[in-house]
Amino acid sequence: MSSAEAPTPALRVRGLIAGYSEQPVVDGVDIDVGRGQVVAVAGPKGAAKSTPLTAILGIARLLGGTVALEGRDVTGLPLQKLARLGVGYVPQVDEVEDPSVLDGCDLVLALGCRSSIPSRSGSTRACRPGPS
Amino acid sequence: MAGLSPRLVRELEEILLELRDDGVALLVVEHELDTVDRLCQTVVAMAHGRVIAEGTMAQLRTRREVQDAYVVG
Repeated sequence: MSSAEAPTPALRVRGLIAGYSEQPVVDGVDIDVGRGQVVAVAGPKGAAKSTPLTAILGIARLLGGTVALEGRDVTGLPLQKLARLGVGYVPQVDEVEDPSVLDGCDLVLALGCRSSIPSRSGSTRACRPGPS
Repeated sequence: MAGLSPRLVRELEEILLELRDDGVALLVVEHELDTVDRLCQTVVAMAHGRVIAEGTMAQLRTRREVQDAYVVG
């Protein structure tokens, strides 16, 4: 690999087709997320912007395309196996209070992203044990 | 970030940025463009189930198809 070549992204999605039945609601979505990078999927209401993420996780139905983590094909891998590979997910909730939001962050950590996060007081919040 | 207080939004953004700085790859689905602007180097804009543009927020703000998606829906 030459030095000019881009590193393999942590997450690479190519040609993703997904929906909640046989009818696709997203079609041909490509997303790359590198380590140490924050990528947003944005769009107006009804854009189906959550569907690629939920399809990657197997919550929505993956109808086509590929998903790779660090270059490894994980297309269609069950959520529990993705979690073991360090994938975390904080879903949207309708009503959020401070503790539950931060519990959501703990969930990400519990699934392997990190072992701790700073608290609002500057000390460290320990990660809750993940699923065994 | 919808429905959260500005203070809590800032706190969550700080946590996400710290995770980013630790090398975690973060994919966020977000409607609040100010938050996207502060957090994200790359934005994938979608409308009607398709990617209509990709780039920085500054780049996307100038794209006609993105403006149309937000205004027209």
